[in-house]
Amino acid sequence: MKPIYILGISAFYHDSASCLLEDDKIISAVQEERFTRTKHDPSFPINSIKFCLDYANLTPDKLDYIVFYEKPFIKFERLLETHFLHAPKSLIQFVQSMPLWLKERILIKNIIKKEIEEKLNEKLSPNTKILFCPHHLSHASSAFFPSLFEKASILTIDGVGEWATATLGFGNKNKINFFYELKFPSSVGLLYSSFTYYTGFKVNDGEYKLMGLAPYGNPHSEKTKRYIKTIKEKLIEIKEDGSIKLNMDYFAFNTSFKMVNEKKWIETFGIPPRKPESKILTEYADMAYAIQNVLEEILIKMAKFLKEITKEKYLVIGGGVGLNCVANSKLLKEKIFEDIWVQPAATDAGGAVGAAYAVYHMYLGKERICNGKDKMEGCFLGPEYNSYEIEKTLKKYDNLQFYKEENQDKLCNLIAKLINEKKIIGWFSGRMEFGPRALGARSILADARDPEMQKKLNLKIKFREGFRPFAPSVLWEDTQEYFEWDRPSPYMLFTAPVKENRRKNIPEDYYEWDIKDKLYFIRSDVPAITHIDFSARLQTVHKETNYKFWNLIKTFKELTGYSIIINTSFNVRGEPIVCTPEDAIKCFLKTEMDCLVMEDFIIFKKDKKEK
Amino acid sequence: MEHKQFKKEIVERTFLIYIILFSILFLITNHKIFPILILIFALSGAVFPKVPVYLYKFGNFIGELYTKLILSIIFCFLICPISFIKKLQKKKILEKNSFWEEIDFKIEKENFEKMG
Repeated sequence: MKPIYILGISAFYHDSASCLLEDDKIISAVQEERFTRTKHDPSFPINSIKFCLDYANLTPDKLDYIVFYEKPFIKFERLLETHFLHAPKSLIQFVQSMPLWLKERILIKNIIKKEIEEKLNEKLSPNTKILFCPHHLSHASSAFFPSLFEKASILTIDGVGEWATATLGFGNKNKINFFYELKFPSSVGLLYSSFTYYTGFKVNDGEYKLMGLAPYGNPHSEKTKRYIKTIKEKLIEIKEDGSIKLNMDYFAFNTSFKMVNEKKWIETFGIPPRKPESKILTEYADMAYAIQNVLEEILIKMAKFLKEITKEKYLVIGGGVGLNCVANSKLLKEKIFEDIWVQPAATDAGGAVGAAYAVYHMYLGKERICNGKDKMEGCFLGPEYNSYEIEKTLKKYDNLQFYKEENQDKLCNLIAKLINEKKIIGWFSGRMEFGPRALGARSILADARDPEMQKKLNLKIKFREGFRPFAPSVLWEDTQEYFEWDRPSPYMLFTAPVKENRRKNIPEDYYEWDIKDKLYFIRSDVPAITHIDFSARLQTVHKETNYKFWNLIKTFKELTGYSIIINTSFNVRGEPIVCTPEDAIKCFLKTEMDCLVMEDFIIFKKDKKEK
Repeated sequence: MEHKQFKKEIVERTFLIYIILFSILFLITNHKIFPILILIFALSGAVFPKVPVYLYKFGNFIGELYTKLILSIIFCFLICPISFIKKLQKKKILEKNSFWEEIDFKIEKENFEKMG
């Protein structure tokens, strides 16, 4: 029988992406930013669509359905309503946003058709249907349909879609039903983003930095306690069922391009907004701790309420807040649900996957088959490059020295040796990851045992804030040697405590210390991946889904006795993860990385090799 | 060629937007200046195809201001009064035990086919 091809598209807010389904199998999925090299690129994902079609050897006329991940008219209605409610304060926002909407966003159907036909020089078939999936259904669908559960409770939670900012639902086989929703402006995502903004990070980008900063806060200090109390008493009202309402006197996102009413926040918290790139004072770390704490409380209450309704054993999570791995782990620890699966590309990029699955299972009513494995293919859904393409690119650079090593064991042996010698490795292997995490296809690897490595990687390789933690990749079979953790975590969406026996004793006044002192205190025998609170955002590496990477870590274990290494995304600050060999080489040359591995090629900088 | 085509489309679209905005303004204010302006725009565009281009070039400088001005007028004459009425109609919010709202959205096949 002829397969059904569905193209899912998310665009025009942040993290544009596309995804191609062949029946219920994801053939490819990739964010536009990887091609345009603009982080979180919101533009129409034409490069991504082109890749998806080329990879499947399809022309646009072979597509049966194209589905956009939200309903533009409803979103437009929300914008107008917001302007109605807040006039005349919303004048500036109205004048700025309307031309964009009138010129393109509202005409999305035409834009999809036009962009594909003109940029790809191929006509769509008259039979190709263009469909629209509600934003939170896209998230719910991206979380449930590719998951390994036949039935599950569904929680979606993000900044805002059309009107909804969070939904509670239930998935069973090929159906999704929703029970409740929170509506704009009551938004947990926007609440968290407001603090992202106030602590000096970029909204829709720096949320994970805020999460990383939170453990530097002092949970016992009066200031932190006061911040938590202030948030819960003045900024929001939290009900027992996890629903919240924002006190809009403190927020400005519905009337201006600012997130908060700064005057009110200064009065309330007693500190001004942190200037981006300025020194991070402990007050901001305490603030990060406070909002993370409140977020966790809300999520736990929501999950309990959802469990009461569905009585289901499993939970799936979609929407940007799902990337808060600390909160995910707290949810798991509460044992409200037996297991939790989070869509690895939980932001709007994953909406492309969800919209496509919603069409397959809900619009077309096709059966959903569960075989105990998720359908994300380890997230390796992007482009890959063969030896010929890599060599061709390498030859363009005369400042590189490279050779080919086709024997994979030898290659892994050499790289394991280099990592053991505290060298930093760029690792480019197979299909690029879909979603924000590098999982061993476009990664920078280093030795987790080196106490200097976190500092070195942050400042000399990634050029980013010194406090930022690094994640470990560990062989799945050895996970319990390092972490209090008992289940697969292939997508880095949970944090786990480092085993007690690996930890170093901390001084009594540890929590009073300055951020820098805390940062450079050696906390375990794998210090580079042990965060300030003894947690780590772990990736379990499985032989079946990620053989080459698994083999490398196994070789490292044979050499050192440690089956754990640092795995951080192959990019520098402010840039998307590398996609092509050219991107990888540029990044390699720009930083102090010691060696680059691209498939079978081992590459050094000429001067380094000579040394 | 591609750039030229792109530019042409921007010009046409901008021109069309002006006409739409004039129409909206006419609907709101019922002032006869707007149909006259629409007529002038449309005719000049039809008879002298370069007019939109000149207007666009001119509009590069003034166009944004012009669009913003029109939007501001819409805002003042349409949005603000509606906002005022809505605020008057706003009912007192009762104490609630939950902020969750039941979803009235039905996931039906036809729903996927609509943009709204």
